[in-house]
Amino acid sequence: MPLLEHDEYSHNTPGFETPLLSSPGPEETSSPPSLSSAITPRVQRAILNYSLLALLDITFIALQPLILSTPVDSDGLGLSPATIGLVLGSFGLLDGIIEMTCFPWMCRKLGTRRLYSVAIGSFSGAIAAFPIMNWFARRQGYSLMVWVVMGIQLAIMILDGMAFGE
Amino acid sequence: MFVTTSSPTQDSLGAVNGLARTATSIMRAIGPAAATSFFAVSVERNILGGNLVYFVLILLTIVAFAAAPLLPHEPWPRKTGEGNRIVYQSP
Repeated sequence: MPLLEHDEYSHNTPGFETPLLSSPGPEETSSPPSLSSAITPRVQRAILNYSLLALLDITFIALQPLILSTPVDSDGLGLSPATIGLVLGSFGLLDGIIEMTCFPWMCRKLGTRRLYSVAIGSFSGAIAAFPIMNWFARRQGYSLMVWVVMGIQLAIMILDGMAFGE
Repeated sequence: MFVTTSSPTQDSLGAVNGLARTATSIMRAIGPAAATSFFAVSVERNILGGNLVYFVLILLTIVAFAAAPLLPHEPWPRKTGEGNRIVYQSP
């Protein structure tokens, strides 16, 4: 039965009729399932988690350049656009390389759900880094500690990005 | 991975993906406006020493963390061949 190898596509091809297909069966006119039948409990659970992850991720991505450019007096870091561009640009490059190489390994090592939980939990560390950086910047100016905390924050952000793999 | 494997049949994969995209798009629409507004308000009014936005975000992290155990340890096993194949197995 070599025809079965192509059966998933053959019904979409007009004019391509096989002996098997030409005999009309009752289910041959089956329509796609309704939207309500697609919403099973596990679909709801998966979408709920994906939505929360998206909300968390986008709030962070929106806040980061805002806080980096806000003056230190107003709870920001007061960096110039050029510095922010350099930081975020080099982060993007590193993020891509590290996620590409480490994600499959981490996923196997920790398990899919556990890596997801770790990535979600680590968001709190990335968020807490903002007031910590501001605290150092207020007391010491742009000291080494500000950049150390920013480095830790960016490292955590790489882990956060892995949540989207799940 | 979890979203695509949660689909009950191969046929409903498109619907499930569409639903997931719709839900996340709504989140991505309200997220930046809400977060940056929270930051502005907490700094302007000096709520919790200007740190209100961080507390709200950490609260959101806790909610998302609490929702994670609703997922199985590994993605649901894929049911290959369901859906379309039924058409051709009919007599």
